[in-house]
Amino acid sequence: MSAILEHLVIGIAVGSVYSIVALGFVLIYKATGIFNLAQGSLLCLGSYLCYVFSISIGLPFYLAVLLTLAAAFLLGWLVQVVFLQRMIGQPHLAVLMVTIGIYLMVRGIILMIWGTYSKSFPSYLPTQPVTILGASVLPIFIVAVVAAAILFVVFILFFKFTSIGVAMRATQDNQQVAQSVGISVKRVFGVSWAIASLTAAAGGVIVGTILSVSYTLDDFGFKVLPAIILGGLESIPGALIGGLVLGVAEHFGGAYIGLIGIEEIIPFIILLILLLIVPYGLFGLKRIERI
Amino acid sequence: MHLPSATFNERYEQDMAVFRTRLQWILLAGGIVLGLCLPLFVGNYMLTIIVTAMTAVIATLGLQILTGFCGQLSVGHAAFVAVGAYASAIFMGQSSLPFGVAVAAAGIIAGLVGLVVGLTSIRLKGFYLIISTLAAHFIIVYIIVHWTSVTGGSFGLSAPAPKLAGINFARPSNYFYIVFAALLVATYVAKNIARTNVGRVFVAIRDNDLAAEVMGVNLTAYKLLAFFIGCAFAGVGGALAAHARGVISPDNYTLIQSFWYLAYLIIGGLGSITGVFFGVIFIAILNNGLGSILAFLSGTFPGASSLLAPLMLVVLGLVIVLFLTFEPRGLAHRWEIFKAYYRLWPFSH
Repeated sequence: MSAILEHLVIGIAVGSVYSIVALGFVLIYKATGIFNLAQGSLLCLGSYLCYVFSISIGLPFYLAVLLTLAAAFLLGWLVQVVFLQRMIGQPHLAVLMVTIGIYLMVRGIILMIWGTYSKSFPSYLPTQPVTILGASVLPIFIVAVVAAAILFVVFILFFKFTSIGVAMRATQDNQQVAQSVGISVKRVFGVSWAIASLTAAAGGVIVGTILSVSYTLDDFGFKVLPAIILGGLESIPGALIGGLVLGVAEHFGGAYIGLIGIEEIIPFIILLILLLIVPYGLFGLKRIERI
Repeated sequence: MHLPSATFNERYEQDMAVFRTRLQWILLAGGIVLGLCLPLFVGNYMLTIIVTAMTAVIATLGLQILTGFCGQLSVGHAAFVAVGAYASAIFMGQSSLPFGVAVAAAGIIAGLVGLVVGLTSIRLKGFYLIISTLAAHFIIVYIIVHWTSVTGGSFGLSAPAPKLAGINFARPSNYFYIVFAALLVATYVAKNIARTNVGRVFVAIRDNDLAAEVMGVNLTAYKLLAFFIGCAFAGVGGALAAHARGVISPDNYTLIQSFWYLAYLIIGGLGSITGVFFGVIFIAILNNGLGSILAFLSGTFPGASSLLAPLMLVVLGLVIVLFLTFEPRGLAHRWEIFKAYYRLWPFSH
């Protein structure tokens, strides 16, 4: 029993990292209707930015994190202005291809600047594990859970109560109609990419601490896809729950299925099963096709 | 099709013909003769590049049928190429089947794997299908890496070059002819799939699947057929590439490799058989041109050559974005414009 509880706690801790990345995905989808396969690249860039600020420049770590978030915000906006603004009104699949192009470019740039060796942050948290419900968890995972919770609440409030949040929902529904009622679609796109990039960078700092900073972190963008599909593409609570479920499932699978490396593909097996049973997810909108 | 002046289609066959005018026949014959003579005056290094490009064309023709004609977007194409490569290597190396049988069987096995993945396309479309092919890619590569008793795991597997009638096909100048013949057959098949009834059904599904279903198209059967054909091409292309390379390992079949195939399509133009050739040639020239420039620069800046792989990723991403932004119809469309210009010159109206 205690072993199961321990796996559950660690699974939730890992899953909250997935949730953070998934939140950025859902934000972009909710606001712009773009399925952003470059989310993992934004995460990866965020962790490298933090590495540059904290190690290369040598700033105190918490200041470096703040600077990273600010830089990521600008970077997200920049990516949107340079690559995606021209694609407004284009077919969704073409835009998805553009995000694949961005993924390739970011991977290449990171490899060119920093090479293939992985880097690590300065140790800024106590390395002593903390015991929760009989499970010993590293403090960084508690940070991840707290960050996921904060981001979740902020996102919910943002979409419900701020005017730009409501404008984002309108834009996702129909870009042309949104434009005709006076919403600046360009600004909505810019803000949503900026915020998504900020979220990804926060995830990047956490993931970079847990694993280490390397170019393969951009795979996280693909690993969280099952979480998003499980939760439903346009649901913020769905992203949170999907991430947690994914983390727990992955951890249990890794612990109880006796195949080496099975935890790498458990998300994708879950994904395939989900797609065949509930393609719109637990909380997503069921799409009815009209002729 | 625009015809030169004083050429009229009087029979249905003339209207359907791929090669209609005498000039087109001459160009075709000239092209084949030129292709057959290529190994005589091109070095081994260049031939290896050409063989790799030709196998890429075969694999991409499959993706063109699946994505360009039938509209089922697959981002797991490299995995099906891998299935073909491994199947052929295992058949030839361990079961010692003849080369032709091994390659054909590799195509069929890759097609069957594609069929299984294609089952998801019955319920899904758009980016849900993209995600399911992405998941299939990761699962297939996982199986290849971890089924060590059959695939050799991450160490890889040797794919022996064929020996027929005492001719050693390990030499690129001999192997070239096999791939060249396969390329001609593959192009012939792909072109004819595209322009006969199956191809028309695929295009109908791509343009509006609901409308196609209302017209009486069996969506399930045709989507699965598209997956089978597309992945069988991938399997044959992968098998031929594997035997050209000699050794295969899972590192050759990454997700990024799948994106390369998509890049060929986007650059060449979706829905065009000619476009596949343009896309592959464009990227091959870009890749090898960059390689030569970096090799030249490494005299002054040591280590410049090692930048090729990452730099190529940046260039590839940039090219995808630029083509989608400025010429979504790809080089094939530009080629049509050029042909019209050439036909009408000097009076453009």
